[in-house]
Amino acid sequence: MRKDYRHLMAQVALTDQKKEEILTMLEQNNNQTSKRRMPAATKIVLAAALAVGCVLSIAAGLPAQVYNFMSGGSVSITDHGNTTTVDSFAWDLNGEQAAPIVLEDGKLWFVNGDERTDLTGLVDENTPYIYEHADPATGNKGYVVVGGTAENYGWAEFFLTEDGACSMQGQNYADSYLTIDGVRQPSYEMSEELVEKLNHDPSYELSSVNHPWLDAALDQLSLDI
Amino acid sequence: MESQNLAQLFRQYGDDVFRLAYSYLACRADAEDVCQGVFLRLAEGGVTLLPGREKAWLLTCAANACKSQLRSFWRRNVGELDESIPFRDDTDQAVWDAVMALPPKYRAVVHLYYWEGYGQGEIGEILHISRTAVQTRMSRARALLKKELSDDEEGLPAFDGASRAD
Repeated sequence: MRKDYRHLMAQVALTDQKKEEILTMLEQNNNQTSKRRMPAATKIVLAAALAVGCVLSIAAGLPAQVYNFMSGGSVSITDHGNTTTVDSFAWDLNGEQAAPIVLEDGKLWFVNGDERTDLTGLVDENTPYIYEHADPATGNKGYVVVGGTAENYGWAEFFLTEDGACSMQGQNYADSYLTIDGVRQPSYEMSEELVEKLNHDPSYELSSVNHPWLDAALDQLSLDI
Repeated sequence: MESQNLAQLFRQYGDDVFRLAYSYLACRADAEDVCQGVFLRLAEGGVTLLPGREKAWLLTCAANACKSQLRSFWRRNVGELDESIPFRDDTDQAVWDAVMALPPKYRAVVHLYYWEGYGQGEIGEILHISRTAVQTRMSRARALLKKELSDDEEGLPAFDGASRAD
């Protein structure tokens, strides 16, 4: 029976046309999803700015302030007096080379072009290293913050306009937590059973908490974002 | 999940998901819908796949989607189009007809055992049923298949619950 069943099921397969169709759909859906699932801090900041942008896009404003992130990508923000709009935002978080922090032989290094700074003893999970970056193209200033340990490190880069609008990008600067039935756990520490439950229950709650080094940096910079 | 990983998972397991759905639903279009839905669910995010357990998650998700389809008002009340897959020879068709004569919940166990080579425990995890339920369903399925395929009695191996490789 097994042999017969396997013989007939070997003839059951998706058509090439259907495979292509699903692959295309997955790609489109994944792109949309990626945009929705930006790191929480970034998402909040941009959401606020973009919501204003929808209303005031036709209002006359001061020339846009452009900031080219040291870690790749750029943002263009227009100050309208009482409000600001984010006119464009280009993300570039995929390239490893864009990250301003690298781990080599167990040591963390801050990288800014050809400059490298050994972060040994300068950062840990509670202590950030803060670098003030001036965009060479526009002169606008931003901050790059790195922190963590060799086992768990991350970074974030901020650009602030004079009226306090902020754009930010980074990697591994916060942990996501999942709440199911009132139980809150780091997503990376979830048990197999909980993961299994999540897989079948879309009614979970995902939240994000900054790493201590990032909160320490925000305190030092007096940033409230 | 990265688009590349998602595509890789689809290429690797898409047909397996489709086969399980087809064995449940016996309709190409419905099985395609289930297959597509499973991978889109994955693309929407919020799902953490454990390394080495990707296929089990996909099959569980497919089984759940099939059960929903079978329970749906639409499927229960609207006639199905004949969208079966033509098999190469009469033996294949006879086996298929015999399997399709089984209740869907038996078909799933048969498929996961004969095609995927899973053991009782794994089948139970995928379908969210106990090992005893797996054993019961498999025994009953075998008895029904034996009756349907009376000239193939010797071909039915004992179900010892061990994982089977081809």
